[in-house]
Amino acid sequence: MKPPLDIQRIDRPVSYTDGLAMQENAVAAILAGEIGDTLFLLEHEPIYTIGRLRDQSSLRASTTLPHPVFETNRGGQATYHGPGQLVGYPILDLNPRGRDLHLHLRLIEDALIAACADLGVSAGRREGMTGVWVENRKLASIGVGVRKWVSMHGFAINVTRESLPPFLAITPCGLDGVSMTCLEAEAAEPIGMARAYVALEARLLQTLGCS
Amino acid sequence: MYFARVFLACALLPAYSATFPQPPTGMPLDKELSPGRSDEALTVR
Repeated sequence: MKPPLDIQRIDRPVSYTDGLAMQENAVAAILAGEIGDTLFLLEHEPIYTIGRLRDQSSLRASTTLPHPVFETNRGGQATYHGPGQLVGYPILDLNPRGRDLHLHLRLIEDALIAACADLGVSAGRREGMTGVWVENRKLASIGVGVRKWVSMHGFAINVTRESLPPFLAITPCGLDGVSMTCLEAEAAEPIGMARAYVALEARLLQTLGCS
Repeated sequence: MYFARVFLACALLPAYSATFPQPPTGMPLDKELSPGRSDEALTVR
């Protein structure tokens, strides 16, 4: 049986460093037995992030990017976070969930795909590619990690068109030729952040939690 | 002249720090699946 999931929706733009600190604190608190599984849902202030890599070519011209760059403790190539994009950080103790990081990632994908369907967008997976896609357009990025089997990082799904232009300055996730898309561009009817929050919250609760 | 130099340094510093990666923060992850990659991107430290 899955443990309860406490969803914390942050209603103000969160800096990437604050978001990282929130996650670090939650991981420590879960490891100390002080809190249970927690899911942060938020929007970040505009920022490019990249993993600790020697090859940072996905940032292209890092000195002329329109937003700051942050080198984070995850792996992987460059991505962008900012307004119009819903970010979720599930901080879950995977010990009672089978210590399966692949399963954790696939469950997040499942929840995102189901939420997209609820919003009238037919999205799915692509062979060998993490994330959620509409045909060959990338709608959501997923990157997860664990510390002592407590998960960190999570997903970022583009909701409104405002989230897309900054991706043009980088090679998202180091994938050449991939274009990013958003729910608003793929849906037949308008989708704002409020609707996206409701749909995502419901599906993530259903998939990752039990309460 | 001194004040001009200090002013210039203060004016340039935010632009520099905003475009160059900051030192990594936090403890490294034990395992991770990287964004955009296949499952082969799993790393174990």
